[in-house]
Amino acid sequence: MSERAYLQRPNWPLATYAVAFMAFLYVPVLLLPLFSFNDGLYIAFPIEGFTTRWYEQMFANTAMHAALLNSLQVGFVTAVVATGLGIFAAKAITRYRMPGQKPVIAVIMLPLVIPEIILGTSLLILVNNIGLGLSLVSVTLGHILISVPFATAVLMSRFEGFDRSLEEASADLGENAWWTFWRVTFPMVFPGALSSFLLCFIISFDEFLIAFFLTGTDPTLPIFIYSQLRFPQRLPSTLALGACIIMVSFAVIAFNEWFRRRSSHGLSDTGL
Amino acid sequence: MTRDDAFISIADVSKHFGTVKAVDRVSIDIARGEFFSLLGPSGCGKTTLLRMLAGFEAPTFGEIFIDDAPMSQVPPHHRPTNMVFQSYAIFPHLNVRANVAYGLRKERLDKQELARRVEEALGMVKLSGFEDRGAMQLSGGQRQRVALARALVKRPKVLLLDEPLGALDKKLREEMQLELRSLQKSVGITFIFVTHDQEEALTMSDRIAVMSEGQVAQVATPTALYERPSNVFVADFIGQMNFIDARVSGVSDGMVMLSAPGLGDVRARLNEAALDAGSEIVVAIRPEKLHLATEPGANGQGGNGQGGNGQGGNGQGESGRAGVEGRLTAAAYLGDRSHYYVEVAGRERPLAVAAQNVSDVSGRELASDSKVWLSWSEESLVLLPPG
Repeated sequence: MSERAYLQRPNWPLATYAVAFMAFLYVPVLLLPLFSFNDGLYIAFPIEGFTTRWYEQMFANTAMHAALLNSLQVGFVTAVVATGLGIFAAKAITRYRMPGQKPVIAVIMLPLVIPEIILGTSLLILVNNIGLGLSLVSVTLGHILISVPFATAVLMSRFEGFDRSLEEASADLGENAWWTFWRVTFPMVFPGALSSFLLCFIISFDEFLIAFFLTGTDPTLPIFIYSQLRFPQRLPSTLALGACIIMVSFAVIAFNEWFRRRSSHGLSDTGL
Repeated sequence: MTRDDAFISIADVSKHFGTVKAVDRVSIDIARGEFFSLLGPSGCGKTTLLRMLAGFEAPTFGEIFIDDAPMSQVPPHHRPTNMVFQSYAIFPHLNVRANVAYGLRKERLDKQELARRVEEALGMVKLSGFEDRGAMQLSGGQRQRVALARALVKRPKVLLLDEPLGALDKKLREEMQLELRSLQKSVGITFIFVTHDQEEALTMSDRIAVMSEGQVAQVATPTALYERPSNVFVADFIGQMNFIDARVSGVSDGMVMLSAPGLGDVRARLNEAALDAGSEIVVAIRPEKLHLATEPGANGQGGNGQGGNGQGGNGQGESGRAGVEGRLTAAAYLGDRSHYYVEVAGRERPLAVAAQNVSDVSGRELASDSKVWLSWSEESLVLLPPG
C-alpha cells in the first residue's frame, strides 16, 4: 500500500459518501422503471408480480402518441432555433469587442434567473395581447426563450476554446467570412452545437410550467402526463412512458458525452 | 536599394491601439526575393507590422504597397500574401492533405492537378507520404512543415512568417533555419520573417530591420548590423557590447582622437557621423574584439591561446593596436569559449572579454584578481551617437 501514489490511496469515508450521494440521486428515478413492470394499480411495496401490460396500454394510447409527437416537434424546432441563435451570440461575444458587451451577455442570460412562473404569466399576457393565441407555436417560442441562455453558454465555451488564428488562417488562405464559417468555424464548434442541440431539446421536452401557460388544445407530453395523474388507473402506463423517457435520456446523454470526448482534441490542444 | 525596385514598400506606416503606438512611422522597402527579418524584443511592434502586411490589422496612418498595388482596401483573403502563424493554426478537423489543399478551393483544379500541387508542396517541406495523417497526430516540427506547405502551395508573392521556429527545440530549430533558408532560395518567394531571436535573424536573413518601441532602429545586412551598428540600441540588442562614454579630442585624416575613461586616449576610424572636437560620443567594442594577455606585449595565456599584443599601460601601440592594463574580476568557462570581466582604471563597470578556447585550458585557468592586459585594433572600435 505504501508504494501507491499519494492520490491513489483508498479513502473509505470518501468512497462511502460518493456511493450514498449517487444513491440519493438515482434510486428515486429507478423506482419508475421498477413499478412500470409491477402487476398492480397502486404504486406501493410489496411488488405484486411482473407484467408488460402497462407498456401495451401505453402503446395503444393514441392521445399519448399525439402528445409525444407534439413534444418532439416543439423540442426539435426549439433546439434548432436556440442553437442557431446561440452560435451567433457566442461568436459575437467571444470574437468581437463591442460597446455594451457585458449588458448584452446579462440580457441573454436573464431567462436563467427569472422564475418560470413569472415568465409563463408574462408570456401568456403577451401572446394574448398580440393576437398570436395559444398553440404549439407559442409553446415553442417560450421554450426558445428559456433555451437560448443554455445554448449560448455551451457554445461560448467552445468558441473560447479554439485558437482564433484558425479563422485568420482561413482568411489568409483566400476564404471570405462565409466560407470561413462553414469550412473552419462550424466544424470546430460542431461538437458544441450538438451538445447545445441535445440540451435544448431535453429542456423543451420536459418543460412543464411555460407549456402549462402557453399550450392551446394540443398538449405537450408533460402536460398530458399531468392530466393523466387524475385517473389512478392510467397511472401505471404513465410510469411505463416515464421509464422509456429515462432510457432515451440516458442514451442521449451517453452519446453526447462520448462524442464530446472524441472530438475534444480540437480544443486547448489546437495551439502547439 | 532605391525606392523604384522596392517590391514591398511600407510607407510611413503607424498603428495606434488607443494611446499606444504599436507601430510608429515605419518606412521599409523590401526587394523581390529577399529574405527579410523583423527583429526586436517582444512588444516592439514587429508582429503588428506583419499582421498589417497580411491584412489582419489596418494601418492607422500610412500605406503598404505590394508589387506597386496599395493594400489598405484589400482584405486578407484577396492579398498576395500567405502566413505561417506562430501557433501554426493547423486545422485540427482536417488531415494533412486537406490542410494543404485548403487554400486551393477557388482555383477549381481537377482532382489530379490538386493532388499534384499538394504532393509538390509536401515534397518541398519534406513531408511526402504524410497526406492521410490527422493534424493531431503530428509533432510540433511536422505541424510547422504543414503550415509552411499550406502557405507555399498558394504560390504567394510574399510569405509572412510569425516566429515559426519559436516552439521548436534548439537542434530542430537550427536545422529548420538552414532548411527554410535554402527553401526560400529555391522557390524565390519574398520571405518576411518575424523573430525575437537575434541569432536566428543573423543566420537566415539577407537584411534585417531591428525594431524598438514601434520604430525601426536600423535596417541593414547581418554583417553590417553586427559590425557597424548605427545606434546604442542595435549595438546592445545584437550580441554583447562594451559601451564607453567618451569625448572627441580631435579629428584628423579619417581618424578620431578620443578621450575614453578606462581605455585612455584612443584612436578610432571615423564613420559617417561628422564629429567635432569636444562632442560627446559612445565608443563600443565587442567582447571578442578585446584580446586578453597575462603580460604586457606577450602572447596571451589566459585560456585564449591567441596572443594579445598589448603594450602595457595606457596608450597607443604600434601597428594600429592599443592596450590597457586591468584586473580580472570574474571568469566564466563556456566550453568553446570563456568570458572574462576585467576592471580597468577610470571605469566603474568591468569590460567584458570573450576568448575562444582553441587549446586545452584545463589547469591554466586565470585566478580572479590577477593582473591582465587588454588590447584591441583601432578598426574594431565603433562610434555611436550618445543614446
